[in-house]
Amino acid sequence: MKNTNLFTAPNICLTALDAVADAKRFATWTHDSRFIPLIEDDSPTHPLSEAQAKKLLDEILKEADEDRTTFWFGIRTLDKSELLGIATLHWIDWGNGAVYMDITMKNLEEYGKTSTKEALELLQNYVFYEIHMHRLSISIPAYNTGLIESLQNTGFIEEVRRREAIFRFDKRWDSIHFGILASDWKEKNDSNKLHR
Amino acid sequence: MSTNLYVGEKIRLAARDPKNDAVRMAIWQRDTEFSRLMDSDPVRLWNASQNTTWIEKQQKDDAFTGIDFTIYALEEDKPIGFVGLDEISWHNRTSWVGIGIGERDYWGKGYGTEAMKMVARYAFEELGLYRLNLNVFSYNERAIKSYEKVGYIVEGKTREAVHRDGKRWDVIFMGLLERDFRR
Repeated sequence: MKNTNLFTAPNICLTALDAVADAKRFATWTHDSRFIPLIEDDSPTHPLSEAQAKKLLDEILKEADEDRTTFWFGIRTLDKSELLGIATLHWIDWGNGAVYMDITMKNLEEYGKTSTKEALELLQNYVFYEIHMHRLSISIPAYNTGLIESLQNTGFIEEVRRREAIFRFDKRWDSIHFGILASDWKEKNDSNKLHR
Repeated sequence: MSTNLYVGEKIRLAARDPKNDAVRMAIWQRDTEFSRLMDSDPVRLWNASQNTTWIEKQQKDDAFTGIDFTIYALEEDKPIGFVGLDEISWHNRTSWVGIGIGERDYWGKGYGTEAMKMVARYAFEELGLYRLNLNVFSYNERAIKSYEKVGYIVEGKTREAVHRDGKRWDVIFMGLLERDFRR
């Protein structure tokens, strides 16, 4: 078997989430009102106590264990000392080979950084190389310009723009859906190899 | 005062009946074409008591994040399908919309279009929502035309998201803003 490492990039790695160990940092993120919450927590913006954060993480991990259509990842520095973000593959549609992804980073700046781009690339590898999906989708608010750039730089294409679907920062914003097909991903990887 | 939002020209909307609707749903679920128009999940069969449990669970929603109606054709007062709001997001003032007409004799005659108009009025005039979302598979051309009559606009498509009949089909996203509906 080929020696493939699905979970390590040059600057970050993907690990399991740990409700106890990660609750404190996750709770801290929510104390900036500009924090972009997890899609699983579609409640209005509000700060979480460490206990509330732990409860939320416990619940999502338990649900993921039971239904086998949601996988969670912690995005960390290589030495695993810092949690930089949380990513999820949710609603894995095994029958149609389609899956949605969500990613939440510790603050708005992080979305435009290398850490986010490397996490997106690892998740693409996982989706197309490990669980063999046909397509990967993500829907995000239009105000997350850092993430839009990171998605475009990693091969995602804008597919849907739901007009004014989100209310945040005293304004209405579009919800933008990006997608990448297995064939797009393969083409991108083949051309990367040629340039190496 | 306004008119009764639950009564239209050809149909009326009523609360779902967990017993009788469940029996009819079990029959409709055996209609593969109907099921494949409704959902991208693998077509499955449920018995009436499983359907009853599902309807009762929907009705127990204390936070009011969804509501389903049974559609009755007025002429014979016959239940022909259902329509509803799902994943209502109160702070965003949005909701997803779903509809299914299980009785084939009522396909293509404007019953579904009227139900979609009535549920949009309910969402905008009674719940104060700002926009409605829906998904439709690219093979369901009849539904797309019906939604356009209500005022929904195509806002994009996720490519090749559904695999059926040996082919890949797009999932089309449509949206309706309150101001467009009232125009």
